[in-house]
Amino acid sequence: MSDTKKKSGFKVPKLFTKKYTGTQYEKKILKKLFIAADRKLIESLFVSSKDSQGRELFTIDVAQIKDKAQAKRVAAIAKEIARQKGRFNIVAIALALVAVLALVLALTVFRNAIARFAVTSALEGSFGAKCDIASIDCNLLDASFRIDGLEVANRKSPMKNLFGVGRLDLAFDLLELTRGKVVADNLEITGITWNTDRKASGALTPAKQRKFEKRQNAKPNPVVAALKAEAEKVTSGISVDSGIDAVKDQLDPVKYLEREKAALQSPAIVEKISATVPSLSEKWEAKSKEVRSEVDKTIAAGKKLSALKVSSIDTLPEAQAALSDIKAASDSMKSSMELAKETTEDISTDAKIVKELSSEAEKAIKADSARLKALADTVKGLNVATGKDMISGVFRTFLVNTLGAYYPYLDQGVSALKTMQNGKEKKQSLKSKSNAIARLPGRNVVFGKDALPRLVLRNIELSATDVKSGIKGAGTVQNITDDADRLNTPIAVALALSHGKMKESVKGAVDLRSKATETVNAAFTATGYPVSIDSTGVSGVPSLKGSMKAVGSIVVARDGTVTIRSDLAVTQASLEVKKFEPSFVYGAYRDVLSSIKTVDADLTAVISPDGAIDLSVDSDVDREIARALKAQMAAQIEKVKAGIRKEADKYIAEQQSKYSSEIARFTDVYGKSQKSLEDMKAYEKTLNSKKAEVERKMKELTAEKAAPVLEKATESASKALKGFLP
Amino acid sequence: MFRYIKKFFTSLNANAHPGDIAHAAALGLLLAFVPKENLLWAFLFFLVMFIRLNKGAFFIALILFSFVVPFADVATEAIGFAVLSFKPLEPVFTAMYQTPFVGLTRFNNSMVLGGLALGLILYWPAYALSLRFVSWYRAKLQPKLAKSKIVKVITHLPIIKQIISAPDLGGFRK
Repeated sequence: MSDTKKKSGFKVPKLFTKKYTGTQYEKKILKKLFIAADRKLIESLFVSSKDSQGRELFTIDVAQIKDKAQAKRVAAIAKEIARQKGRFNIVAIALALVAVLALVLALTVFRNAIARFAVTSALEGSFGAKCDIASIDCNLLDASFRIDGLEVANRKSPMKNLFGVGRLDLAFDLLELTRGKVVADNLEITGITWNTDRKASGALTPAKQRKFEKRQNAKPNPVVAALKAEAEKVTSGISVDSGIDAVKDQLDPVKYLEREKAALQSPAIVEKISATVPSLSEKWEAKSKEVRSEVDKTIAAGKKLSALKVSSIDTLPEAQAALSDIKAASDSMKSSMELAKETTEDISTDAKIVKELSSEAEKAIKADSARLKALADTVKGLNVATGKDMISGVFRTFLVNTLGAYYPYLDQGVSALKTMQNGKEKKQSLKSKSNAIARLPGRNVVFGKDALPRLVLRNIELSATDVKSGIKGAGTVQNITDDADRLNTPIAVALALSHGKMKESVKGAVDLRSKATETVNAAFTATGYPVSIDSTGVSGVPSLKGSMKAVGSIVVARDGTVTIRSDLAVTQASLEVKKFEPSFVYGAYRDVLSSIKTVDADLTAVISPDGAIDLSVDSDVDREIARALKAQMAAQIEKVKAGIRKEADKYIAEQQSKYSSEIARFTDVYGKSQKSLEDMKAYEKTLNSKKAEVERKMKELTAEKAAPVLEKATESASKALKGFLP
Repeated sequence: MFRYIKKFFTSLNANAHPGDIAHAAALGLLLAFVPKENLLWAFLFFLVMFIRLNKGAFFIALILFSFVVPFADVATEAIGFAVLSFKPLEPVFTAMYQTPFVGLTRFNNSMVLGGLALGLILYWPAYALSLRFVSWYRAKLQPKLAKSKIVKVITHLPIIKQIISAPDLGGFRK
């Protein structure tokens, strides 16, 4: 109620209760009214009066306010006038400046914490594992950035560090940094370590891991897939196309016979005999047994008669009885005789067929025997061409596996460098597409000497010393930039690393300028590199151990074609092969391998952007092995021939035994049948003989009995005829 | 944003200084001309936030002019490049360019400097035109609109009612 006066029941704002001179009234009230109606209303409410000094004063006449609405409007107008102040809000500006200063102060105080967060987040996002930093110092005034004790964990093995950096020291150009560029003349990275132990797990939280996995490109690299396929092809190629198995085949007489079998006659006839004769034998075996049994039975029945002593017959009745028995036996024998005869006749028909088959088989065996003996004479020499790429094959496997392991890094590195180039047309994001109206980029005018790209790292000094692992390395990388055309200098790389007896070095250039014909051209050397290539269990493929030295070059053409050429030498080589048959080849092969102490090979790999891989490996050792094998195998020709002959004889004997047993079985059955018939015939003869003897005896006995009667009769007759006969 | 639009209409119909709206419109045009993503634009925007002017008018102007100014980009760029190539100013530009942090303003970009130059050139005309428009509106159009039946119908629509029933709506309620 202090700023208003209550008259006629209406509140009047303090602004209107004051008394104004003419000038004040014009300046403070009327000039601040921009709505004609409001101006009219206020003018109608203000009245003028004179003060004691005679000056004209303006003040509101509250009595003129007609109603509550008008009073409200007056109050609103007063508020609107009160709001009209100076253009600048000094207090607000002061507060804003304080806020800015506070922000700058906070950034200065917390710069290291912010830098730590930024570096940690970036590295964790890139490697998918925890990143630890012992200390970090970002100093804008000194234009320096330093990290001490950086460790990035290995995502696949969280208790190990993927790599560590003892100190990273970057001296950047502050002026360029404020132009939005990172330009550093010197970047020193020292104390690089690998695979060191961690005290705590380096695994990220599940949420961060999911985020990382989502970012990873799941699409497989077509070149890596092609390399994998090539590795499998190379491994199988050793065993199938160029392995020792091919050599072994030439020394195996059985293999020769296998190839000749199709042209031999005996297998067919032996098969025919095997198909027909056993069934015939089975068929007649039973019948023959039946006949035999019948014959034996008949003979047994007549055994008494066969043993009969006719001389012991004294009387005629005895002789008559014996004759009767012989006749009965003779009658009963007839059916058995018929059976034996019929059976023997029937078997003899099949026996003819079997005999013909046996004759055919003998002829075939004879012909085959002659053919196989001639086969041995055809072996004049042995071909070892198929086995000559043994060592090359081993190196091919090694090369393909090495490329499969390291090519993705080369590809990723070159891709990353290409992607960061400014000149490349970047894919338009959805956000930028949604910008309805795009502005022109404009031209950047450079004042003074500066014409640098947004990122220039002129000289990066790298050094690594790890006492525990014995790794020691150093290198320089120069002229890393995001706009190679602008900097107009290729990236120069010179790295050297030694760990134990191993030494590796790379020296070359990465040229990302748009007119460059080769993106990468680098020479590399690797010495004292322990190499151990396993035979992967393939027969005849040697395992190789030794110390490798590689001198070569990597060239990545503008179109992405990668060409790797290298002279490879494995010194203190130890080539070993697992025992295989034939033992003399193994012996020769082993001796050759053990005599090799240095393996030289020329490797060339061309990988085209579409994933096609052309690998070429040439080794002198292959030729040496081939020569030794050839000499050994030539010396073995006579042995091979003898082996073939032996195998041929064995085969012929096998064939003969196969059919002769069947023939013998049938012959046995046929023989038994014939024997039964013969026995019957002999029995018949015996009976006939006995019959004749008994009949003779009977005659004798009859004569003996008739003699006295005859004598008497003769005498009687003589007597009677005595008178009649002269 | 809605608050600012409401404030603009409230001020337009109230006894707010016409300069508040006119300056706001001119500054909106200036900032529309200058490409974003540089410290200069951020600085100007920050400055505007601490000047007493109609923020509603400023944002409306900025948004509306942002749709229009790209059609003048060729001219903007040409002007910018001409200014940057202006020999007498070269020592100034060189000194600025060699000063840390100044580069963050991207003043050496033809679009940035051209936008700033064109914005400054057009500042006064835009201010004067806006001032005239506000005065004309308040003197001629606003009384008519206040009495217009169509306006009355519109103001009685539920949604509009809700908007105008908000405090400080100004002259429309007369």
